[in-house]
Amino acid sequence: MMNQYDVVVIGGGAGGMSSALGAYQNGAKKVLLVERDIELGGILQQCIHNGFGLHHYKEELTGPAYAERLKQELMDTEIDIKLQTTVLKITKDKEVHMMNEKDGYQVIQAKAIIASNGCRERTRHQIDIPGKRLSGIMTAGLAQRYLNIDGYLVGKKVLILGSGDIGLIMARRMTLEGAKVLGVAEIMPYSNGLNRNIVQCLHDYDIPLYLSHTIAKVSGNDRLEQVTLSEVDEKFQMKEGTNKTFEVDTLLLSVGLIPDNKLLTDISVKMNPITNGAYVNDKYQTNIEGIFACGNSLHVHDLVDYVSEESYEAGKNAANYVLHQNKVKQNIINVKSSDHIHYVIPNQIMLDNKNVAFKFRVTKPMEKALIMIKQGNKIVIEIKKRHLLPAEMENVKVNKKVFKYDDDISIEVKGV
Amino acid sequence: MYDVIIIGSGITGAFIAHFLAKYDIKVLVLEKDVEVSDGVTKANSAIIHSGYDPKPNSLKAKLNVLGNKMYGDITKELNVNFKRIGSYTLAFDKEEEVQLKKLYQQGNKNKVETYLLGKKELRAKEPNIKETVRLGLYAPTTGIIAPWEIVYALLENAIYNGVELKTNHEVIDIKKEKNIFCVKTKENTYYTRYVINASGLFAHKITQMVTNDVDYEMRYTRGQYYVIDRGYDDYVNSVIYPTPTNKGKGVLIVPTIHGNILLGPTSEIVDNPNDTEVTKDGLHYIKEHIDYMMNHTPYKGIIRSFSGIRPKTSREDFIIEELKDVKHFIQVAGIESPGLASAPAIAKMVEDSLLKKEQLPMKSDYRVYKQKNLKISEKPIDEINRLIKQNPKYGKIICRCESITEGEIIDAIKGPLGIKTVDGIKRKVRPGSGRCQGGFCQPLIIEILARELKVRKTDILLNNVGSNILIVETKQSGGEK
Ligand SMILES: Cc1cc2nc3c(=O)[nH]c(=O)nc-3n(C[C@H](O)[C@H](O)[C@H](O)COP(=O)(O)OP(=O)(O)OC[C@H]3O[C@@H](n4cnc5c(N)ncnc54)[C@H](O)[C@@H]3O)c2cc1C
Ligand SMILES: Cc1cc2nc3c(=O)[nH]c(=O)nc-3n(C[C@H](O)[C@H](O)[C@H](O)COP(=O)(O)OP(=O)(O)OC[C@H]3O[C@@H](n4cnc5c(N)ncnc54)[C@H](O)[C@@H]3O)c2cc1C
Repeated sequence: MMNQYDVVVIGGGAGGMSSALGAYQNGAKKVLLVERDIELGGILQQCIHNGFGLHHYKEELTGPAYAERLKQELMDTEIDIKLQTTVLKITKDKEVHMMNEKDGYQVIQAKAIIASNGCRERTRHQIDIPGKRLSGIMTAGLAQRYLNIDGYLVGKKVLILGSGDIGLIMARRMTLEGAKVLGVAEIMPYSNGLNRNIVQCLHDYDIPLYLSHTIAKVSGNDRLEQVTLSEVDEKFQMKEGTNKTFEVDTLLLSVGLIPDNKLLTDISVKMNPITNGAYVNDKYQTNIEGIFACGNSLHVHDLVDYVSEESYEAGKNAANYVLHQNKVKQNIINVKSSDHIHYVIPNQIMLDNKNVAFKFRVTKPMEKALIMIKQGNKIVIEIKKRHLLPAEMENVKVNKKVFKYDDDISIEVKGV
Repeated sequence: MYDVIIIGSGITGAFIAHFLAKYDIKVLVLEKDVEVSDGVTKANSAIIHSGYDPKPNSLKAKLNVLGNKMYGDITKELNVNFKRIGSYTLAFDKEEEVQLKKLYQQGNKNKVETYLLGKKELRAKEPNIKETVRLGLYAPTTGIIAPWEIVYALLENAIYNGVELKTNHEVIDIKKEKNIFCVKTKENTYYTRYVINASGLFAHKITQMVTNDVDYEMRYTRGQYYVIDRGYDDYVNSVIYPTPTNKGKGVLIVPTIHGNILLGPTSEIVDNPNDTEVTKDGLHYIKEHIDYMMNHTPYKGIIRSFSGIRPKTSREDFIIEELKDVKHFIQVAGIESPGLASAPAIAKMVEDSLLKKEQLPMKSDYRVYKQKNLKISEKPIDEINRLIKQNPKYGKIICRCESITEGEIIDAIKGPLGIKTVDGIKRKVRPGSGRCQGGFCQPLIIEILARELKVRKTDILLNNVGSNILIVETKQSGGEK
């Protein structure tokens, strides 16, 4: 006999824990949470800095403390949890194939599946860093894990490429552990990290930020010895005569995160090429009924609070799907990103009287901007913003009553 | 005292060790790097070429055609993945068409099965070939293999049958006294009756240790590549070559035995055999040449770039001969492409030349060491569960991109070759070769290596000496908590 569950959640990070809670607290009886690691928490476990939970718990927590809160909530439920268990594949009929040391290879039949298995880091190979393949070049998140979980430093003299948050946080963390961080280089003319991180992680430690710079070359024998930076012009071409050479043994890359979606692409879930996550409607359901996606495997979040919020909703919707098989096809309309909007989630909404949260990022930093949510050519909502940054995801809640027609919805911004 | 010392553990040295393992003689393989197969054999196009391309009557032509034939049986015997997926060589203009027809003739001369195909047939077989294609040469015997996998299998079999292997043993000098060679490494001196120089990019350096009369120059020629993730199976089914030029075979598309796709190589002369850089221009060149032939190339799936160096020489053919002035020193130099395809035949030629000199007794207890090649995740569920019952570690996934278990990794560490480094594990069982490039599994691999080898985590190397990944335990570092 196959094991049966109402909802199976893949991944025990903030997203997975929150969606399991969402499913359970909204009526799903048998819920299973599957996590490959030895404990729950996901990426939060290695984020030992402060800055989590300001929205969700109204206080500033470290990553592990935030995870602990969610774990406590889970303990008060009857949600089944399987640790050290990896999901190998899922099927369109919602079988979940998983494996661990104790139970071996198991196939579970779910009524709904929530994919919340996080993201991976972009590596040097996806950004064509010229030079040899050397020890001492690694992604910043990996270095963070070595330092905060395993207790090892990966180098003593460090340069960081990419001003994403992980890079900034690692600049401070490595400095505190006695390494010398010589600088952070960023190819864009602006930083890709949260403002508070630029101030608290770089300025406070006099670590220079080289904007509009990229790597001309890395060299060394078996271990990295030198990194050469070059300034770039507006077209990202290196400018002659602007090379600066740094004697370093370590280069950390913080050049972006990519939602990890092999499980979904294997069963041909429709994917958004911009986010690398699934296309979802406002129930966080993918184009395959009963398969939901949320958290960093749907789109990369900068704040865990939004991961929790989104994933709780996804869990709730999965429970509703299981309980009511709500196939009532309401008016479905598409949501598109337009001028200066990089992407928007959800990609479809159902017209009813409920609220929807539009999440989107702008394509470039903007001062004094006007966000417009349009239906057809009509502007339905306008929001003024002092600053907009690609690094900061916008989260706009709207009551769907305002959409009165069945034209597509689009979101755009313009400077004012 | 050894009968034969083989210098180098690339595909050439490994095949020679394999063929000599059945004789009752003492054989030692010396390798300068920490792991075997770390030279030219680790970075190339991984094709077992069919053999229509080399000039008729050259050693390359003869050994390529024979080598290709030998791969079927050997891979079956050792249980190594090998597939004949065939290849199409494409012509896009008049000149290339003429050239391709010549190649077809040459194929006939080299006794290689080939067919000329028109645009329609080509595009029916490989829909992503551009509509501008005019003619193609189909070679059904072209095969693919993971070069290091066959090296590991050959050496494990050789070691199992008594051949000795010492890695991290760089040969720094060779002297001949009377009829005995003294082969010096940094640590030790070994004595032997025969030396076989299979040291790839360093062949001339080794030969120079015994003679002043080296009659060729090295022309190190770098080739850069992109690797595309698994999951783009509908892009190509076979190897795709452009029409070759005097610069070589050109930029290819190669499905790998593990389901990835290689795009490359470039061809650039470099000064230094260690210059395995990738460059902006090189990577750009690859895309340009691929776009000339193909539509819908999944560049989005690129997970890695790398480069390898060809040990070309001024003699332009393989150099497989006993030195005229130093008897019993056999030089196997200039083993550039099609060196993988030819390797079994090259080794056979070396074996035959030894047999001409003396009668070698056979071992009475020779037994083949077959690769387990478990690939847990690809087995039927019942068998997986049976294996996990035997060893629970087969139930623990370490590499999620490639679904590799802890059991498979421990097998590699405890196997006859005794893998010691992160890259060695990656080549032997593949964790770290997927999308995340080790981002998730490297800490776990380091932990398993340190535990099984009973060393500190800071001692674990990425590949060679000096490539340690973890530098200090933070309890000992200067900073505050
Ligand atoms: C370095 C860093 C710093 C950050 N800093 C802050 C901050 O200061 N403040 C803030 O609010 N937010 C911050 N964030 C963002 C926020 O913490 C994350 O976006 C959030 O924790 C992601 O949660 P998740 O559940 O989507 O993904 P993850 O935490 O990555 O969880 C995914 C889980 O799925 C598991 N998994 C994956 N595949 C499988 C499988 N096949 N089978 C079983 N399990 C699987 C993984 O092991 C993992 O535990 C930071 C993020 C990072 C990476
Ligand atoms: C870009 C490129 C593409 C190619 N594509 C193909 C292809 O598709 N098909 C094909 O058939 N061939 C191909 N080739 C050629 C093929 O890869 C080589 O012919 C083959 O790998 C050579 O193997 P080897 O054992 O002779 O040399 P290597 O693999 O280099 O082995 C020599 C070994 O000797 C060791 N060594 C060196 N000096 C010393 C010393 N002093 N002491 C101890 N050990 C030492 C080295 O560390 C090394 O491990 C390609 C080559 C390149 C570079």
